[in-house]
Amino acid sequence: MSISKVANRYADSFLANAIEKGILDEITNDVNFILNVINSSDELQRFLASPIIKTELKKSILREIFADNTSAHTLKFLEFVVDKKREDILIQIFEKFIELKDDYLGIVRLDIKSAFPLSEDLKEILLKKFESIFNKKIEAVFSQEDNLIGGFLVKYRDTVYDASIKHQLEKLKQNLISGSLSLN
Amino acid sequence: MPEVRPDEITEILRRQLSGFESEVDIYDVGTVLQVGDGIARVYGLSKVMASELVEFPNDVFGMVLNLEEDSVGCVLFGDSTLIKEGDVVKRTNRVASLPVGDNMLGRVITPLGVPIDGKGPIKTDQFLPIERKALGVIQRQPVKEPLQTGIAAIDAMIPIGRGQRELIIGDRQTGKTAVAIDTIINQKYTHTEEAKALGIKPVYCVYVAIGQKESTVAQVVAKLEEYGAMPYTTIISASASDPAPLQFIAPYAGATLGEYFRDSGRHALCIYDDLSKQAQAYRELSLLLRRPPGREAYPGDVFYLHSRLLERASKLSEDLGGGSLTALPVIETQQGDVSAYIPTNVISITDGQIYLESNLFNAGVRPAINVGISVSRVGGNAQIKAMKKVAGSLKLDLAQYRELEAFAKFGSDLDKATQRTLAKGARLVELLKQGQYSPIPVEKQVVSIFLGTNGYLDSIAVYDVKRFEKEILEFIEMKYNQIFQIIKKEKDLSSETIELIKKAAEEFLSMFKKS
Repeated sequence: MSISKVANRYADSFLANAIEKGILDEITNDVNFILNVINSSDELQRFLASPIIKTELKKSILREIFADNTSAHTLKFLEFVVDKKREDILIQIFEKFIELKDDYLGIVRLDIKSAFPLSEDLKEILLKKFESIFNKKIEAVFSQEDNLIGGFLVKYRDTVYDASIKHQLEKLKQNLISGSLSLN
Repeated sequence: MPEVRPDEITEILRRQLSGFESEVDIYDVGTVLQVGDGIARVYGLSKVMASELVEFPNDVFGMVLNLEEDSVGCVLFGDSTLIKEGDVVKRTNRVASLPVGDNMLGRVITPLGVPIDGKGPIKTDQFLPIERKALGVIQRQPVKEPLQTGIAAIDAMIPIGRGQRELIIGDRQTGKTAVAIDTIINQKYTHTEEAKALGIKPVYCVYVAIGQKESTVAQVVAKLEEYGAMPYTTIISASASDPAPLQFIAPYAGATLGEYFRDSGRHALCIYDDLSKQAQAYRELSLLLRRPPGREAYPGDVFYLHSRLLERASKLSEDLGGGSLTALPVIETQQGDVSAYIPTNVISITDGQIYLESNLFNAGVRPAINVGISVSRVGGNAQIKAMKKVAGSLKLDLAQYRELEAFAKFGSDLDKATQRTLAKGARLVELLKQGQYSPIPVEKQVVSIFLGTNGYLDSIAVYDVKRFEKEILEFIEMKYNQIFQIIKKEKDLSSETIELIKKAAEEFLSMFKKS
């Protein structure tokens, strides 16, 4: 079975469980925390992906890392995933979890890139605008990307709202190429 | 030296830029997971349509063929080395389509409508999708007008009607393309004022070259230009060096252009040269897309590949303008093996086939048509009455000749009747020989076949037949031109016309100098 299908299944049941027990906020925090930790440590990623390390050892190490900062429920889920030997796709499972949780809570998670750091006012305006477009609660991650030259670029899943100078210059170039004969 | 002022340049640039609007662009994207061999697997593009055009970096376009659960399989129309893993893929929101219009005539284009003849851009205002559903029963009517190929053997015995699908099949080097090119050249007549007066509507031609050498395509273009056939012809070329996906879509693009003419009430002829190469291109990309292979490693839908293409050939009902799209697919066989996979498929789809044989070709019978196994299932209805009358006995005479041909080597040991049949057959075969690029108008075909079947050639030596035919046709044109005019106008052979032909033939026979 393809990875995304498996990840979807684990994430779905984890979410359903969290909702049922009424601890969604807590779990979400845990998941964000764990994702952060894993993403910041190459060693941990290699450790999770390694098939040589025994299940018991993996479980005890994970317990040691996360026991203090996460709930018992999350820890149990981690152990369950390791038992099922799916710890190599833990990142995908948690990313899928966030996605499904957003769908459930009606949150639109935007990835906003700009050439320069945006002021708080600008961020406010931008978020308001997108709130009116999607008619949903917006959560956004702001980041800086120099090669946009100017303007901003908003990504929501597969859809891109492109208002960057880079894109406009490209479009202008295309326009000039295709319209070059009309000059004469 | 003329001077250009800088402010003038600025003005021009400003004018160009003023029309440029900068708005927020919304588009869907995906990421390349894997690329190679003209195939790309893309993650994302969640709303993409099947057979939609997608844009890769470096101006490479692709077409979506596989929609899978977590990835999308695309074929690339450009160089796959320009694309890297992780590149961004954009949707274009339109299915693969071809710009169509009358300006396409006289041009050489790629299957995506880009001109490659160096004559500048083509102005068109309409796009039609490359894959279109064939018309249903209600929109059609039976084939009823003839499509004259200008080749006597075909027009007499294997007639093609407008809206028919007739397969041209044969080994390599048997003159398949020659038949197709001659047919295009012969349509020149339909664009004349004279044809218009006689109620013959013009036929627009589309020649699709699939997997051929660029030099061959250039040769075809040169020949068509030489014989003045380019003004009503479009050539779509996906040559051997083009990626397989382009070769795969080329015939569909040709059909789309043909349909444009058909739907505007005109007549179109589409030649797919050749479909065996297209099937091979499709096999290549199917295997790369990991579709399961079947017989001869072709994918399971290779029959549908050709049937949906050839079903698009049609004769529209009068309500829809009565236009037509005739298809002449070409198939190359290996060592005369017509029972291979692709040939049997296409034979079963088409309304008949013209079978070309290499031993006939080598024996000097050109066009090397084997009239014994060539058939046309619907074209008979479209034949003009005059031709129908003379062709009946021609078919019979040739069939008898073929039956007795094996005895020919016994020579004088045979009885009189057999010898007569053999002699007549040999003369008829000689009569049907025809040079390349020299189509014969139908009225002349009728007269020469009439002479052949009615014994006027019996006293002429076999090697003199062609010269006799040429000279008598010239003689009739000069002295009895009314014969041709009557056949052209009435499309029938009345007893008076027959008498006139007989009179002319006897007059000429007395003057003919045997060599």
